[in-house]
Amino acid sequence: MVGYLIKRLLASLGVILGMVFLVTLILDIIPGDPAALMLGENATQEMVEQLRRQMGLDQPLHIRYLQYLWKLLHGDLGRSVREMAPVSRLIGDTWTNTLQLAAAGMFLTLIVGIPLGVISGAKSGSWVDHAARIISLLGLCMPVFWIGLVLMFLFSLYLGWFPAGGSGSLRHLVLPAITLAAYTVATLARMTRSGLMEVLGEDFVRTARAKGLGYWAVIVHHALRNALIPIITVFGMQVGQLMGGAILTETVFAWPGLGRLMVGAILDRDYPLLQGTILVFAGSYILINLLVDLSYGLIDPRVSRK
Amino acid sequence: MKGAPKVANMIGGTEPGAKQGRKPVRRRALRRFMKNPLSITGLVLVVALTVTAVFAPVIAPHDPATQHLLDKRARPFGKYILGADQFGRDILTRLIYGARVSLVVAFFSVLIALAGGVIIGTLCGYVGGLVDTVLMRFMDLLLSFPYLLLAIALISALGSGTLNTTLAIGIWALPTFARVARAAVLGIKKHEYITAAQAIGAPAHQIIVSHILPNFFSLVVVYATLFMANAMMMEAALSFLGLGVQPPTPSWGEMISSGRNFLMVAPHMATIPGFAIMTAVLGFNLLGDGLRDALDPKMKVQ
Repeated sequence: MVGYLIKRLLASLGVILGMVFLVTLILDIIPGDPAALMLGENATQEMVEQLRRQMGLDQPLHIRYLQYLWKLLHGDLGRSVREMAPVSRLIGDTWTNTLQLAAAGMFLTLIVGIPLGVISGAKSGSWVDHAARIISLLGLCMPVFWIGLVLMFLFSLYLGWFPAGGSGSLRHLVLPAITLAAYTVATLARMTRSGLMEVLGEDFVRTARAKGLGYWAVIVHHALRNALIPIITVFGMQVGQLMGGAILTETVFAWPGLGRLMVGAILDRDYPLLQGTILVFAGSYILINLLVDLSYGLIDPRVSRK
Repeated sequence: MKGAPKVANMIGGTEPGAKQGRKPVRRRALRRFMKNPLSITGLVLVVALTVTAVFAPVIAPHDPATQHLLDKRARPFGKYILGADQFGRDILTRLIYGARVSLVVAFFSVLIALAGGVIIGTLCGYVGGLVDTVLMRFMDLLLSFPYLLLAIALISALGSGTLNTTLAIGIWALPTFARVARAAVLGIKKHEYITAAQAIGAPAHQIIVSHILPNFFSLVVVYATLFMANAMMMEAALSFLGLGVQPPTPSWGEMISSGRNFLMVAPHMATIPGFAIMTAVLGFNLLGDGLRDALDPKMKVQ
């Protein structure tokens, strides 16, 4: 288990180093001088030169990469040009909002997606199953931002039950969380259904039934437990989906989070801020997947023994 | 090279894609496809979408760019079947032209992903060694970006616009195709008919083209169809954020984005294009699922 842990940690570290490299590379791909683009047309030559030095653009790529890494280790992500503030502070001010939204989305995904999939799988062929499958199929085909706008129109503009945007209270969180969870609920329900149905054909399920255990007890205690690994794997991948969805959801509901910060940074050509937000997003995704991988050992003892 | 399958048969290996077995397999696949109402629905939706996109100028009732300033935000079912937008442009017309943009971007991005992914994946799977390790590690790196983020990062570097959007979506999808192709090649490589072909001295490129590629062609077709749906969704999302296809080019995502500002006074502007996206994505998803079930029921697609 310790060997596996170290191997996974090193692999994640490698991916993060690679990601920092790609993020540094952005400035080299941009057609034109990033510093001049950031400052706009009214900037003087001196201002551009100063910014170039400040961002390390006068250095070759590998030096800039190492400088970026070194600063990153000290929690320094550079300065946002538009906001006149350190990127780390801007991210620090908003990341809890994104975390809140993502956590609410994950919570909804788990408490709706798994039960939906279990009912669907246990009663496959019934009308409940058909209804659940049609709903999840449609959920997969609807764009996140569109669901958000439809919900906003119905429940805040038309019915007035929830605020249409902003953050601060639980009522603000309801619509964005539902929007964010729609796609992942659909995927998780589908995976839970197919995972459960695969396990239901196994001998141990028949044995459990034969010894007189009730149908739902078998489903919950025996079948679901064994179907859990693929479900958790899919959930880990869904976190990535959830993060991308958060960028869209935050834009729809004017939610002051990292996603909106990132989109704003692109439109404003605020490259240090953009690099910082991309790294924080991608880094958290890697971290979550690491945790998911490690949780296999807790769910299935066979994994850690390997 | 024609002799290779025969040699393979002589030593007991059977090639799934061998000429003599092909026709009945295809006919059976077609029958399985036609028996499934969901697949047919998918096919009909995709064909309808393609026809709409190709014949947009013939079908569309108005010009997509002409502004009728007296009919700003006109309600649906009046002078315009689906209403007009904030400049008085006919929404139905813009949806029809939007189908063109959406389909073209999705098609070419999937083409980029498919061509690049199959080349890289086949190379890695067949050659192995250092090439395999380096290229696949790079693919893994691209895959460890959360959804949408890689495309956003690429667009922030390349700039927005139709061409760059296509490129960004293509690069985003490429690693998945590479992985699928590599896994398929590794599986096929173990078969005896490959060993046989190698034994009679067939060059590597010939083995790849005539023995390996045909055997995972159907898998790639299924993935390409499913990724058409993903690519359309991605294009819509990027255009919604203002990073994808730029106005005045009509794009479904951009239409929803500009309709957002009028959600209270003219809710049809933001809601109607969503149905177009949904129908298109549903069509490609159903078609992809149907193809998978018809071509190879045992196929594992994520």
